[in-house]
Amino acid sequence: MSIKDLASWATRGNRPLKTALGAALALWAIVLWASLSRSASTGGGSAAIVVCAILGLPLTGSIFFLFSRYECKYWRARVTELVSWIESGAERGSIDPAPAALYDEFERLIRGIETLEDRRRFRLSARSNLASSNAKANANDSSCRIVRALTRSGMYEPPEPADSTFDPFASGAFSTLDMIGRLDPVTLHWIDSSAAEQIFLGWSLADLSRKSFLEVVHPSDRNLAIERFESVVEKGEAHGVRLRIVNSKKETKHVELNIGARYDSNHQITHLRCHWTDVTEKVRSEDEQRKRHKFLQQFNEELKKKNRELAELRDRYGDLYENAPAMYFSLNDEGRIVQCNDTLQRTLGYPREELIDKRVIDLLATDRRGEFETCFADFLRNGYIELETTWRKENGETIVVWVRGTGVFDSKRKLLHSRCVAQDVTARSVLEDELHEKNERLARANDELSRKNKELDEFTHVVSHDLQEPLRTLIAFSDFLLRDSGDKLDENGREYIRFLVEASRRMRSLINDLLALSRAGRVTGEFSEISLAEAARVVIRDLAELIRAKNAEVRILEPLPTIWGDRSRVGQLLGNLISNGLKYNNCDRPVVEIGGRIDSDPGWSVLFVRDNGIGIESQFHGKIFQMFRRLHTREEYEGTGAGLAICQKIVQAHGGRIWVESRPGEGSTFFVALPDQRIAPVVSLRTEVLHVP
Amino acid sequence: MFPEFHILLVEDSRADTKIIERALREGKVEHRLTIVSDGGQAIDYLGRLRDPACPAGDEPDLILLDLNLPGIDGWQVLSTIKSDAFLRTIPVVVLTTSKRDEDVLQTYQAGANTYIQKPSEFPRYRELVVMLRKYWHETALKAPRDRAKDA
Repeated sequence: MSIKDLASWATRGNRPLKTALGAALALWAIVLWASLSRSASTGGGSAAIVVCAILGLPLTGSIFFLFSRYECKYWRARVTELVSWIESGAERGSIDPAPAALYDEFERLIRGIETLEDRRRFRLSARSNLASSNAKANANDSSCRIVRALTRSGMYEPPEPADSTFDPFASGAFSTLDMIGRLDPVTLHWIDSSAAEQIFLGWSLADLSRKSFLEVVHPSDRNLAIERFESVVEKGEAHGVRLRIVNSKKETKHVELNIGARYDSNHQITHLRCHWTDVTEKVRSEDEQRKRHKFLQQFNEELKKKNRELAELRDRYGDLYENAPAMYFSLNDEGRIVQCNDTLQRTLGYPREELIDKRVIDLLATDRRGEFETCFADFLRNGYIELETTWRKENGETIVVWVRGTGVFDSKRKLLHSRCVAQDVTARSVLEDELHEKNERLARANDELSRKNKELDEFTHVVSHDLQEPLRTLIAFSDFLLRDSGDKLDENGREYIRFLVEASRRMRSLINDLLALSRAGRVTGEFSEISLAEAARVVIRDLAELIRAKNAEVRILEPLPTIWGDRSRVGQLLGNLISNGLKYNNCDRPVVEIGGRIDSDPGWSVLFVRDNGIGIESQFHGKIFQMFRRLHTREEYEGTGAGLAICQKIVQAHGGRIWVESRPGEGSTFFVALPDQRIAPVVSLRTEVLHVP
Repeated sequence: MFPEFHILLVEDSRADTKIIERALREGKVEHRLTIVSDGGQAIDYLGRLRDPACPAGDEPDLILLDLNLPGIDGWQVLSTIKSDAFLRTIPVVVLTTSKRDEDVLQTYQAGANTYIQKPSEFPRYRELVVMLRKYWHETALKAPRDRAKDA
């Protein structure tokens, strides 16, 4: 099939019209001629001519009208036929016209219909316009459908548009890019629609012609639309009508309408012309603007509020900063004060303006300035400093301050500023000095005491040592005298010498005990863990002879605690207590028991030595621990009375306590409580222990 | 019979000297006793032993040394003996009153062969000298000069 076939096919339809027209004219000419010839031959013929003449013209008109109507119908039928033919061909893929030519042919066809319609419209009333519009719309619709079908099948390519908004669907009447529609003034149904409008709404003219404009309007805006249209009918136009419409895809769009009424020669409204502008984007941007504006307003409000809060905070924290009980200041990288609080200013007494930009080195007391450079360099390197230094006040007084500073650096390690806090520690420093002095005094006193102790020890030792010598001589020579010259003396003389020996021996015991006592308080040996049971067994072995002589029994009631102490002194302690229990005992079978118990006070071990001896009256319980204190005559019980004093000294040197529970005739129990941890013995209490740095 | 047991007694106290003498006598110890009463004399006496003219019998087999001496004290005498290669082989018995730990330790550190506290009772003196005699007999039969030669 070619375009020629198509064209001949399309124009074929002219023939019946032309034939009909020719026939009508011929008929009219025959009738006219017949009437004229009849009237010429007969007299009555003139009346027939008049009738023919009068009747001929309307008759011809009627025939012509009928024919043109028919023609119109015919054309429409042809177009419809053509459309379906092309459509089916396009779908089959068997149609092969030159696409642009085909399109031109259609244009021509449609224009033919339009011309026809225009001719008709010229004659018809406004009312009949609707029908013609429908016809045109159908043609329009058809052309759109054809082009769509062709485009889909790839047979038609729309010509390259002059601008990007080229619309191949624009109808002949509205070959415009604007969205324009014509509405029926009464029903508000579409009469005509520009392609742009159809695309915008998503409905073809055929669909639109069945719709009232109001159906397209968003339900909420319908009342407004009605009102506007009424005013248009009344006043002739309305501009800038903003409405929301809902298109075929159910999208809500904002449009601005300019509506004008169009009139015919009788001033009847033929239609309403609507010119649309899609203002969705504009509205949206307006909305956004509005929202933005609102947001900005809110933001502004919030900022104001924040500002107020900040101001309050500033006031509050400003007060905290300014009147804090510490001096705050900030230094720059040159060591100058950038900022400081009132406390600093008040403490130092300089006016603020003098403090700001002052080099902090100038605050230092003269003798502390030397160390500044190093300290500040350290601070810049480490970002932190803590030191005690001395500042000079405005009035020349100096105060001791404890300064702590933290630096804030940028990425290049340049000091931005620093947060420094200084505390006036003059009072504390004075106190420390005093404490230090007191400590030193105490240390000196301690040293003195230690020295005195040592001297005393030396003294005791030397005295007892030197006292021993003559005693030994005394004893030895008394013995020699008695042996060598005893027979030359009488009984009295011999007794005197015996007294001498006895006194010398007692003197020696006293001296020995004095020596032991002076040693007991001095714990020179190393402290170590001592198993009391083991220590007791050693002591019992040492005392074996005495135990045998007294026919006694010494029992260890295990378990005994393990304590911390000087092994030889603890042995001495146990020895003294056990031998006391044996010595002050009149039983046929003296029994001494050594036992331990856990004290209710944690950290203490308690040891007891119980005997079945003579017991001690409670009034003497304290006195028995005194040096050389004896409760019995030497004739009754031997001894110097140093044993328990020595025990007490040993216990005290271990930081412990000793006491006795006893009643006469019921035996005695000596208790020794010793701390588990080593407690520094009094004598070796060194000064470092007390020294507070 | 035992060879002569030569004791050098360094003692300032006459009474103590007497006691030692009597103890030796009562203990029936064959002996020769040389007594010097202070540190200076002791060092002089020992110094003379280097003289080749000095009779071999003057060499003591044992020195009984008191620590508490006037002038040069016992420790000085002790350290002089023990730092001298010639004299150091002579056994030195320190005989003193003190039984202070520090003294004992110091004495041993100075090189004393033994440390004995002076007994408080005479009979113990007797036992002591007998014991010393026995000790010498068992350990010190060789003369110091011979031992020096061996070394």
